[in-house]
Amino acid sequence: MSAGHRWDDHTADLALTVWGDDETQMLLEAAQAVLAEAFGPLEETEALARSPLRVDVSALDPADRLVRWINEVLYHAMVEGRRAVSASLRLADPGALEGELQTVPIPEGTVVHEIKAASYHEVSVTADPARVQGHVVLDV
Amino acid sequence: MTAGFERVDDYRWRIPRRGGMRVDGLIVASEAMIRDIARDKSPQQVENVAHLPGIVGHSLAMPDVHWGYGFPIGGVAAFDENDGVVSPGGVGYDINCGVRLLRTNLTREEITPRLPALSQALFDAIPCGVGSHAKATLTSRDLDDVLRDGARWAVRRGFGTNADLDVIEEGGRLGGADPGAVSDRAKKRGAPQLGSLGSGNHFCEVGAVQEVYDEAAAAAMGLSEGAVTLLIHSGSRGLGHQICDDALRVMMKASSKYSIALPDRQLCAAPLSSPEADAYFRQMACAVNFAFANRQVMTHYAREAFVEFFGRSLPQLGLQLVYDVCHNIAKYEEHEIDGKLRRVCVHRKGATRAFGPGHPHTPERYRDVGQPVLVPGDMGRYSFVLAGTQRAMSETFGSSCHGAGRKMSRTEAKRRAGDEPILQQLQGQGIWVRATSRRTVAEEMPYAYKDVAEVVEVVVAAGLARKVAKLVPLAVVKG
Repeated sequence: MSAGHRWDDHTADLALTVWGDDETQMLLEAAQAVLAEAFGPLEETEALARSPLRVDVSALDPADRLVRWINEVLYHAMVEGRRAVSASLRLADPGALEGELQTVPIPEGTVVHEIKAASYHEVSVTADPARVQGHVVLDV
Repeated sequence: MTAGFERVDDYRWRIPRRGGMRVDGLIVASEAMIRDIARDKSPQQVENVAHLPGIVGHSLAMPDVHWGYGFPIGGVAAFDENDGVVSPGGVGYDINCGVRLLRTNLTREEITPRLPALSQALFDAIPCGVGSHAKATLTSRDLDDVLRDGARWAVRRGFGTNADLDVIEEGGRLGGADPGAVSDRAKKRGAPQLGSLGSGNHFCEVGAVQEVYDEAAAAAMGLSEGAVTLLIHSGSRGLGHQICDDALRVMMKASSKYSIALPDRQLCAAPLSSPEADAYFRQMACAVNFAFANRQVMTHYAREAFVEFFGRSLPQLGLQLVYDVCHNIAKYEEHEIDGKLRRVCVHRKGATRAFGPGHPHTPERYRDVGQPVLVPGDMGRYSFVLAGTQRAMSETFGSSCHGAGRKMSRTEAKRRAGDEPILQQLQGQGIWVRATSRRTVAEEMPYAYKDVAEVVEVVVAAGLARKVAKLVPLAVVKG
């Protein structure tokens, strides 16, 4: 099993279903899916200078953590112009997340789809022996 | 009875109280519309809102209702000031997303040959597009002034006149704003964006009055057949998004603290008397004011563009503001409920205030005809100007529809648009569209929306507004 995602139909917004072998992998996949939607596919980044960014998310539970994590990643991308390309995350119960993102600069004017935020509408994180799956609706 | 709905009359459908609902739901729609509405999750969202503490009357939905997050888009709910709640999900991320209409002395005939150049002039004048930035970044002090004073700040700085303020909801400034309560992140997002359109369904549209239905009301609004108009639709940009996100974090904990059961977490809320609600109002008012100022500054840019393009002065052009309404807001209002005047917190999420004739909050010039209600349609068909009614005051907390309402997801719209030459098709209809992104045009293609004429016919038949005029698009700027 590996990580993956799909975009589901939603009348006004965008709904994302995302999965991974564990919650950390699911969260990383969610971040990459959202960033690809907002800025387009990740081009070759080897030549770009990477800069580290510490993140510290406080959430009530895994579903809250999924929302807060996406909004954290979006903030740094939309406002600071820093796109996460990899991350080392540590999760703690019930919803904490801390870690370090490796980011590359986003060239001016490359936003292709403005995503306002991840919402709590129908948000869920479920786990079974095979995988952890999240569902979140993004306001666009 | 359509599944789950009880027919009240030809234009009202009741969702009977069940489970944890505290009041009935009520959807304003025709029979044809209710079948479509039943296909998405908006009726469930109407039900969910009815669970919130202190809700009075009905959990309401206008005929442009569609599936949103938390509240449905097109949802209206009022909460008792003593035992009710405020929910940021009932306002949304784009706080005070709204629309304003300007009228002109220009005629459709005289501008038609110049539409391609006019659309380009507006596109050049108004910053737009995803992540668009203003012409200048505000200083920290100026931003605080904007958050406190809204459109009044803009007018003080020369972006318009006091006459504009008379015809903006709340006079262009919602009281109670506290810039000190707004996060650094929100300010960082807002500072470079004042006076920018954004993307998605935001637009600036030159149009013309195609038909007048109510001569007296149209005359009061300065509208006549063939006259050129300008619509501007935008909101509080990144600042509002961040304020909503910040508030949700607090409200999630508050819902648990105050034992508020949530059928949908996006409805997280706090009692109106709580410090959490107080903090949200102080922040939300800042975003409301930012949006008022944003539309006011863009109006100034549009006026400058018109003056330069036509080589005439502003008085000659007669480019005057008719009205500016909020679509996404929560605020205290007094309404008569069960024969008693009560102060309630009205949430409008994708809905328009529609106060009737005689209401003290209706600008004096419209006191006899009712508040202008601006209902933009899609960029290929038409928009409407309505006027508020007394019946809206008694049934919907003085609220009406805000637009056409999406009927197709953005993904589906893009898929159907395919390689269709949408811009060329619109040009064939005499509509010139300038946009930063083909994707936006595809997502916003006319048939992604309900026919706004049907939406308007329903609110008029239901007695929630009166038709004043129909506008047709001629030149559209999209993000």
